[in-house]
Amino acid sequence: MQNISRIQNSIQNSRNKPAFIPFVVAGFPDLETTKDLIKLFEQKGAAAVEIGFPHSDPLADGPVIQQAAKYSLENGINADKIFNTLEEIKAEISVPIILFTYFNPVFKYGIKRFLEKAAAVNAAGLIIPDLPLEESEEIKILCKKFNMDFIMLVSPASGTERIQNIARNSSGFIYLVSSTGVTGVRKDFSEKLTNIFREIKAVTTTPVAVGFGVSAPEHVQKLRTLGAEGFIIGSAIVKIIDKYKDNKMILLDNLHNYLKTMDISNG
Amino acid sequence: MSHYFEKNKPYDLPNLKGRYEQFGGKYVPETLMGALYELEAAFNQAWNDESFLNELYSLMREYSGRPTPLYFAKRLTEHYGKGKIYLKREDLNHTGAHKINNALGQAMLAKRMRKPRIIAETGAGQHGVATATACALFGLQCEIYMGEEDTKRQSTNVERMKLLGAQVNSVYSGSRTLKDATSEAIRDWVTNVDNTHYIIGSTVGPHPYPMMVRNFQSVIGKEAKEQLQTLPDYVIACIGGGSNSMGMFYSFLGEESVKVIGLEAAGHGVETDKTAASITKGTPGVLHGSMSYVLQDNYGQIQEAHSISAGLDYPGVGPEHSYLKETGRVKYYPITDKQAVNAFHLLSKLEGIVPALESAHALAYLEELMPTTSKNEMVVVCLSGRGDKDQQSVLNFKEIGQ
Repeated sequence: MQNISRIQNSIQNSRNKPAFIPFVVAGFPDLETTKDLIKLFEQKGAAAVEIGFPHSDPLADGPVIQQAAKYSLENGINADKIFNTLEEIKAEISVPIILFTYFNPVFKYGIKRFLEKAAAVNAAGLIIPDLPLEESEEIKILCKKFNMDFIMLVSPASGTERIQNIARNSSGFIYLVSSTGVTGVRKDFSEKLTNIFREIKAVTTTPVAVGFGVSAPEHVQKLRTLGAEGFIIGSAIVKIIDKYKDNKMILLDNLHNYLKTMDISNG
Repeated sequence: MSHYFEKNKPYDLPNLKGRYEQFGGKYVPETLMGALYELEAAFNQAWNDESFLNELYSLMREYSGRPTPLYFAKRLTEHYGKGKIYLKREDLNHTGAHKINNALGQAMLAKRMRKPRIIAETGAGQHGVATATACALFGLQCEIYMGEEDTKRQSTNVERMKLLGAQVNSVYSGSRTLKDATSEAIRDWVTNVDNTHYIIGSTVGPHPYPMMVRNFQSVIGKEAKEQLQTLPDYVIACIGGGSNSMGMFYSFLGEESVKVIGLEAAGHGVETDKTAASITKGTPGVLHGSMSYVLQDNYGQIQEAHSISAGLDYPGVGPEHSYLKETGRVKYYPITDKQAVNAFHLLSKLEGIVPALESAHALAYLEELMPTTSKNEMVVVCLSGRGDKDQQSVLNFKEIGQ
């Protein structure tokens, strides 16, 4: 019997419609704050939390996340320290944790070893933005073995055939990129979004969450109209963390206020 | 069959997934996958289209000055007093390096794909100049990404690119060199993929780039082989990403008697952390879209490279070179900044040819190789570019050295 995806379950049962999925860079500004942020997001009703593993060459990221990753790396953050942090709080949280990492850190760590550790700290899913369908066979099989979702990205530049192929292969949710480009602020979402959403829904019931540049209440309203089951906020959150990183109380306050403006329901 | 480019394959690689055994592949964001398939289809069609290849070669001939001479370096040969040294004069190409071979080919492809905007990365500025040149020739909009550190040490090339109508974007992230310029160019491509073609300058990046760049550059070795009329004993070239070397080597890899040697930049030395010797010191990993040898730490973070030569200052290498290292068909050795600078001076003084610092890495290996050769042996060195751009770097190096 197939295991039920914790992430899919959490999205479908979220009191936020669409469900809210925040992203933070691990260790930015430090790992203790990362723990506090996970707990804050859980309180705020996040359906899952994406933990970004910092990488020296984040090709899919805009300046905000690039800078945060650089900051973390310069402070000696690495995969083992991140796993230790997740181990320390796993008993205190129930929100599903998604690991967001580029492929090379996983490859160098050892794919199997990385997934063993991920499973041990109770991670529920994995996103690798530079690992397209063609290169993901091995990792998909291992994710299944460790009962983790392998969440794949669909882009406005993917044609119908690729979109549907990825939709069939992604579990937990399908990560729909709002428009071509790197993470961070953009003028608008792709006009193709509605069509792509339909093409996905024609082949799967897996939820769709939209990310890249989601930062304002009108974005969420747009996605609600679209019918998306979830949305990811990354750069907008990381930007707030960057601005208030010197004072944790003020940081948490500001995040709290920001999420309120985004109409994310308080728990 | 066109005879300008090498069509005889020494092995049937890359495979359909763009792999050279475990190396190569396509490790890019989903947004680029469609563009890579489109490019692969366009390239395969062009590569089998005589009219495309004829048009490309007539440009190479009439615009860029091909065939480049194979020059017998008499005084350099006498200096070592052993085997005969020949220089494949890619420095005599229009724009001063082999980079134009690939830039013309890819600009023609961009035209075919109806992509009006071109982006490129550059280290030494040679590929940037070649791309800006090809864009001027074809009326394409052109933006070049260049690390801020490199814009300083190669400022004349920055001016040249601007003169040619290109916009030069300085990159301030990371080590502010070729690696970061490449990352930034990929980010631009992810954003503007609909109307933009990315002209990668070396045999790096996701499939089909390493194969395509190798094939366009194969004109170098194919010509050299015909000019020699007999097989040489040694073929040597410098390696950064590896485009002049793949182009030079490709026609000789199937010839068992020919010893093929690649020289990579050791910087201050492979025992230091100021090095760019990815093959000697690196481990398999993914950088800029393909699996290959890269300089990285235990957690897969890419390390900063160092070389006096901006064109070799890169912590990775093309996937086909990683494959050739594994099979042992090509031998790879590191050359330090100091050795390269000495070779730079030697060729300038003995032959009246000022080589690019990149090419000087290949020339430096002659110090070790030539004493082991015999009088009737032939050594062919790919002189990939001219060194005018490097005068200041060499001068500065001398001052530091003293």
